[in-house]
Amino acid sequence: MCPPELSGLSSTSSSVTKNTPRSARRRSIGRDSSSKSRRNSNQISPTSMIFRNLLIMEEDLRNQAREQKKLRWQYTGFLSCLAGVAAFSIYELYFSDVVVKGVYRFFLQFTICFISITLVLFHLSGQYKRTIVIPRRFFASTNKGIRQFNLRLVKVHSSWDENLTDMIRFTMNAFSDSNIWLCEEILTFWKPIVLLRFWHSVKLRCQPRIGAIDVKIVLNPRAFSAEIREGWEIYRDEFWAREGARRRKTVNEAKS
Amino acid sequence: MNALSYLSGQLTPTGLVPPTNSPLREKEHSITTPTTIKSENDIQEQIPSKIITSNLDIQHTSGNITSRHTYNKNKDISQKNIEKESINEPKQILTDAPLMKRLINSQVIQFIWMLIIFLPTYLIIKPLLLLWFFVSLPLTLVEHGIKLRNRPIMKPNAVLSENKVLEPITEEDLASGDEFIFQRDTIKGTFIKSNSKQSSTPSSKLRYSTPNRHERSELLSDTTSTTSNVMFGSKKMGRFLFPKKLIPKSIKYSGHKKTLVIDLDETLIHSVSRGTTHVNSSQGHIIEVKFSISGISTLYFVHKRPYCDLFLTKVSEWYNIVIFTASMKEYADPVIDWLESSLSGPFSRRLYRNDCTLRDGVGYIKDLSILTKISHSSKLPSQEVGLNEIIIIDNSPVSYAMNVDNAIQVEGWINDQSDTDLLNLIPLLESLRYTTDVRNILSLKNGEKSFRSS
Repeated sequence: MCPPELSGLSSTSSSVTKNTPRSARRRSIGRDSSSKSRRNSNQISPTSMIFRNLLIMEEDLRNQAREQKKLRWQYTGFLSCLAGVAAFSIYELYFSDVVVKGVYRFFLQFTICFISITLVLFHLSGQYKRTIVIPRRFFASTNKGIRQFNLRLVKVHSSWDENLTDMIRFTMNAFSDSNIWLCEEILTFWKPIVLLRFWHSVKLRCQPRIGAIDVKIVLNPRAFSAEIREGWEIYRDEFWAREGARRRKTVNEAKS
Repeated sequence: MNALSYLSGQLTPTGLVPPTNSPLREKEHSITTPTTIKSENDIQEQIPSKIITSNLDIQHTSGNITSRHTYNKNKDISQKNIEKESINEPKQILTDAPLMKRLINSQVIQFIWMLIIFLPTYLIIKPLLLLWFFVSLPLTLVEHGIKLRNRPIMKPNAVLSENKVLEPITEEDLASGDEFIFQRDTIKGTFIKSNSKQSSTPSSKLRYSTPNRHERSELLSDTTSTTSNVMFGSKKMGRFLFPKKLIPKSIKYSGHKKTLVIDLDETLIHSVSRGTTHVNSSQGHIIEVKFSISGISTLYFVHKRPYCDLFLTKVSEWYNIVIFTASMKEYADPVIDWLESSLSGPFSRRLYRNDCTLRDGVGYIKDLSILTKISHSSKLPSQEVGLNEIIIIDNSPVSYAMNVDNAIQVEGWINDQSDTDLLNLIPLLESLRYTTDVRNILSLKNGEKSFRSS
């Protein structure tokens, strides 16, 4: 890690001394930006257009995958809670040695009836299919749908440290959210501005990761050459890198 | 006072008694205490040495303790003794061993104090601080990385910003200032090598540090120098242009929907006339069709494809749905009415056989340009639809022969109840709703050809 002044110097000097191609590139950028107004969508290479739309599509599919996963976990949790309560009631009523009497017995029976009716309705109304079955088959089903376009949606497995940072980011984000809420809503009589600023900065720093972190689209190797497939990967990474830089820049501007 | 000095973190070297010696010193303390009680004079004599040898704080404490003893017994004696102390000072500097013990005793007391007060610091506060350090380490690193990388970028940004002033503000997509020139590999393997450098840690680069544009462009230019190829852009891929925003505001917030053209027969439904024998004919919805030309009415049993309702409800949220069928209006209308009845809103348009183009020997072709024409002639100018916003779903390739790039092919459905084709299309259609040009994605069915043709 060299100091920033030095690295700045080195980057400028390298651009002067060794990189004639790079300076040529910069010139070409200048020329292009001057002729920018003339540029229309026909002049943009089809590759960029395709990749850009693939990015949009990928991002949407990513959101969908997250939503479906969330839906599935929510309802699995809900159903397992119901099942747990029902199992407890049944045990208390019929399998336990202690004889249950009176209001408690009635309450337990009512609970069992209530839960069983809920479960039956849940299944009959198609909610079970919508919230558990379809989300579970999301990847398989999506892949069947996009297979004709030589695309494939794959899961990206992140390593444990990435998961850890994700978790930390998530918890800190939630924590700072709750603190900001506390400061703004509850402590209205005494606005702790310093605290608020601190928690806002924490929140800004704990933004979730972006890019192809959990789901990504890959091009079918049978239909596309290695060059195009690599181009797509580079395009995606570069876009998200730029997007990340842009966001961080706005964060920095907001801070200063 | 000692405790306070410890609290503020000013641990003097004398205060830190080695732990190995402390039990011994405690023993000595227990032995020596009786002797000190016995002879007060001795105590009084011992005081001066303390005053000299120990530091000021210790002097005060020990002095106070001893003076308290003497104060109870005899004030005068103590005063005299104190006077004596000042006189006898030089004599008793290093001679008395009990004096040292007293001194050590006071140090032991200090140590115990330290244990009582400061153990929580080491047991609770310091570990917590360490834990916090580890927890916040990634964030600190990120911040550090940003600080390091932001400074060299400042200069080029300043240069670029001059150009940006001249740029038209209206253009928000694929700005040329953000272009990224992709170098085609002339010598096989070089590109892959440079790529593996980049993509080996793309994730970490994305997350923990600012992506260094210069680094990457340098990497690319390095590749050019190794391949000795100064030409920019490649024949195949062209230049990479990056959008400033992933989804343009004009698409995301305008509320403008794209158009989805869906075929009827064997895509959404399947119908059988009464005469033919069919397994499910009794269960289907019965529709009576009266042909105006011949005047004959026929009964049709219509079956919905599995997930048809779910599909239509979901998709109607994202698209304007147009039913485009190659069948007669007389037949299609009641079927579409039936389909509409299970939806919240109506379909935006219905097109029938007379809207198709008939090509001899091929069949009825659905020309999508009719939709753009219709919307041009419609009263609302904002509803202008280009071919880049029209998707057609059909089971027969002949139907979309004129707009292959807009088509999504589905299997024809007759009576398979386990069919999930419509369900499978929902994620695809949802993800296509914000694209700038649906043809870019849908033409990928042609494979690599789609990259060549614009």
